[in-house]
Formats: sequence, C-alpha cells, structure tokens
Amino acid sequence: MQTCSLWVIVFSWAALTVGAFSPLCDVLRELERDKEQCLQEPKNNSENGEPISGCPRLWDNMICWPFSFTGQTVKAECPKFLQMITGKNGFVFRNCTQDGWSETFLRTDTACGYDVNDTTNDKRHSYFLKLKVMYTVGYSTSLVMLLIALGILITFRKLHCTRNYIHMHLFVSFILRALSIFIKDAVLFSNDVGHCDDHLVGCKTLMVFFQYCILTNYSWLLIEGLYLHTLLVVSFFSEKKVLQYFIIFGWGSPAVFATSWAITRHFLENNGCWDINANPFIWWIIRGPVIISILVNFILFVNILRILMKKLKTPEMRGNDMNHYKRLAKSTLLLIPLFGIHYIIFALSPEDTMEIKLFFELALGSFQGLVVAVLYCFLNGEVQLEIQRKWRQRRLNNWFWMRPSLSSSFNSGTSGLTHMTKASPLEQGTGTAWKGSVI
Amino acid sequence: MVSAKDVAKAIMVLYVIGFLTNADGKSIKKRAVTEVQLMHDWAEYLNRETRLEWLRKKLAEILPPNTISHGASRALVAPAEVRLRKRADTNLIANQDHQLAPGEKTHGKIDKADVDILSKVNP
Repeated sequence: MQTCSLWVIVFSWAALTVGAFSPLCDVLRELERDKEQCLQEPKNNSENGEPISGCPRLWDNMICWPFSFTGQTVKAECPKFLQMITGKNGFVFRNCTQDGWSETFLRTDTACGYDVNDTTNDKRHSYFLKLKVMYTVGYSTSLVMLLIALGILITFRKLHCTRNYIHMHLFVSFILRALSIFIKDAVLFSNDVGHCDDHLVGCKTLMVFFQYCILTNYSWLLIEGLYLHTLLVVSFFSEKKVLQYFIIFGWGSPAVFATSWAITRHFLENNGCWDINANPFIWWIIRGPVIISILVNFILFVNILRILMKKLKTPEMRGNDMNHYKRLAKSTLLLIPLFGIHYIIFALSPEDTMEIKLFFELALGSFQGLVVAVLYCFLNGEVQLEIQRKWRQRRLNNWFWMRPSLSSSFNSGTSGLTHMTKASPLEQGTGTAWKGSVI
Repeated sequence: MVSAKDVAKAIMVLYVIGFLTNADGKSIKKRAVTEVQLMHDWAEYLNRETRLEWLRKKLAEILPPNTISHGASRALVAPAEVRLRKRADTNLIANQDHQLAPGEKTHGKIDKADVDILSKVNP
C-alpha cells in the first residue's frame, strides 16, 4: 500500500512538471531543414562571375525554387511538411519571366490537397468532450467512494480476511486507474504548447504508468473471479499462500506487460508521447492480456453461476423455483460489476456501433468502481454490523464521558447492547449461508 | 440424454470459437481497453487538428492575400498584416542571399512560437 501511494505521489509530481508532446515537431523540423538546405546551396546564377539573365533561387517559405532561365516553367513537388499534414502529393508550377518569378499556378495549398472547408472534425470534438465529462464524473465519484470504502476496510480489523484483502487490492487498482486517467488527461489534453523530444521522458513514463494501472485493474478483476471459483471448486487450500500468489500475480504480471510494451515501443515505435498506437502488433501487448482476462473471467462467471444453480437445486435448499431464480438473478447482478462481465457484452457489438459502444462502456466502466464499493463495502452485512457496533460504542463512550458518575452503574449494559445489534437487511435477504461468506 | 451441463459446455465452446474467429485482429482492434482506444482516437484527432490549425495560419501568412479565396481565411488577415506581408514578399525577392529575410521576423506570434519549439528541437 505504501509503495502504491509513493508511486502516486511521484507520478502526480511528474504530471505537474511534464508537458505534452507537440504534434508540430516533425513538421517544423522538416520545414526548417528544407529552408536551410535552400538557403545554403551555392548560388548558380552567375557563370564565371558574369551575371546571366534568369530568376535567382527563391525560398518562398514553402518550396525552394531553383535558379532558372527566363522563359522556363519550373515544376516543383509539394513541400514535404504539407505532405505530412495532408497526406497527399502534387505539383506546383512557376514561370520565370523577365520580371522575375511569376505567381505559382495552382495555389500551393490547393495543389497539395489542402481543403480549408474540411470541418467534419467539429462534431468529433463535441463527442470527445461529452465522453470526457461523462467519465470524469464517473471516475471522480468512484474515486471518492472507493477511498472511503478502502478506509473502512483498513480501519476495522474485524473485517480483515482473505476475501476483503482481495477486495482492498481491487479497490486500490480502481483508484489507481481513476487517478492515472486524470493525470493522463491533464498532461495530454492540456492547452499548453507542446514540447519536442527532449522533454518526453516524463510523458512516456506517465503513459507506461497509465497502461500499468489499466492492466492491474483487469488483473484484479480476474483475481476476484479466480478466488471465488477456487472457493467453490477446491475444498481445501491455504488461504495465506493463495493470497500471496494473487498479490504477486495481480501487481507483477501487469508490470511485466507494461515494461515489455515500453521496451517494444522504445525500439520499434518511438514516436510522440506513446499515446497513439499506430502499430497494432505492439498494442497487442496491452490488449492481449486484457482480452484474455475478460474471457477467462467470463468463463469463470458462467461456471460459478452453474455451480450456484446446482447448489440451489439440491433438496436441502427449501423454497420454490421462483425463489431460486430470484437468488440466482441477485447473485448474477452482484457478480457482474465485480468480475467486469459488462466488458464482454460489448465485446460482441458490431464495428459500426463503435461510438455508442465507447459511450456505454466508458459510462459503465467509470461507474464500476462506485458500484463495487457500494455492493462490497457499504451494503455488506458485516461492514454495516461493524460500523453500527463502533458507532454505538462511541455514543456510549461519549455518554459516559459526559456523566462520569453514572459510568460504573451502566458498565454491564454496554456488552448487552452490542449483542442486540441486528443483522442488516441484506444479510437477512441473502439467506444462503455460503453466499454471505463468499461474496 | 443430453444434460444441461453438456449444453452449457457446448454453448461456451461455440461462443469462444465465435469470438476468436470473429475477432481476426482487425475487428478486435477496437474492442478492448476503451480508455486506451479513446486516448488513441482523441490524440490522433488533436494532432490532426493542431497541425491543420497551424497550417491554416501558416498559409494565411505565406500565401499572397489576393489569392486566398476562402472567406474564412480572408477574415483572418488584418489589413496591417497584409502590409507586412507585402513588405516581406518584396524583401524575399530582394534578399536572395544567405541572410534571413527581415520581413520574416515581423510575422508575429506564430513564427515566434515555431522558433521556440524549433529551438527545443535543435538546441
């Protein structure tokens, strides 16, 4: 936990000091190179010191026009920097007249495929902003609730058990995910003038941290699934050892993937701030494990539901069919956010619904932390019981402090009160004994 | 007799096969890690926008104002700037030596910003 907070501090500091990458670097570099080349080339407009008639070499701020004789038409390729932006090529012409160079025929921008009226991107901008507002709200509410939930689980020692330790790690991974997204947004989408290569180490480190946080979240979702599945399938196992393995797996495996992604990026696709994943194969280093964890979790989820159905149908379980299905539906709904099953629902959506999918998945994904914190901490019977107990104890203590003379006579009453605390409604509704202990 | 378990297994296998075959790289490309996908899309979009915006300003500066046909670009060119540019153009033709055309220095903020960034590129 301590190392985690240290990481967060380091990266928040990095976020404040690190600037974004300027997308103009390569264009400006190209333009500057062309210009220098044009101005440094030896001049050819005189032969043996005698000036001859013609147009001198001209750098028109975009293209270098070579020396040419009067009456010539010069054809020049579109400047490289324009090609880099428009992605199109073309030619521009100039006549060398007696009065010097003529204007270019075909304006350089139209000849090179630049269209001023291209405003298709305005819609996209508002779409991105809408998305950002939505997930910022989601992640910030999740962040607050998760921090409170984590605080509760850490402070109440009675709640310390393997299941809650795993929940705590999951909460931390959700918190890290939310934080890393805020930091990334602050760095990448700020309005400052970007930097070029020499300022990018911090920016790239942040990007690796962002990928790591996303991966840890998926790995801990997978561990929740693995743990519940092991509880149901394996009869005897050492909880302590399993927890140790889970911790190593949960925080270690994302580190392996994030590091290998960083190394591959550094050697094979070292452009910008590593925020654009142009090479799909390198992106697979991040996407692959995520997809596998979603798939495995889905399989575990189906298997758990199958086992649950079996247990509910055994003769010891009293009640009618309707009751069974109610319980099944309830536990399914409880498990979906814990395992991140909603990811697979959208995994099968067709490609052309991409925008809607992004919208829904970000909405669900950003509120997932909140839902998990509410279901597995605030609505949890044990947690509620423990909070109630502490609350009553505190009130009683205060009461005794206010009236010290009465403290001795009511001493025996305290223990009685704590025993009288009722189980929470959720606990009563669940009914099945194993569920209370497992989920 | 086929049990419910077998049916469930078969459905699972079919589902996984369907998922994997359907997802031949291209289609799955956009189906995982929404945040990363969004970052990618957004960064690409912002990059493009910044470049186009820069290009628009640059072209409005460089190209002779009388040839700028689009209303939007024309609105951006203030009369004072036009005068400056004319001077810059004549200077360019006059100064074909290695020295920098003096008019270039008067281009204003954008060039200054460019130079700032460039000085970071080539320290």
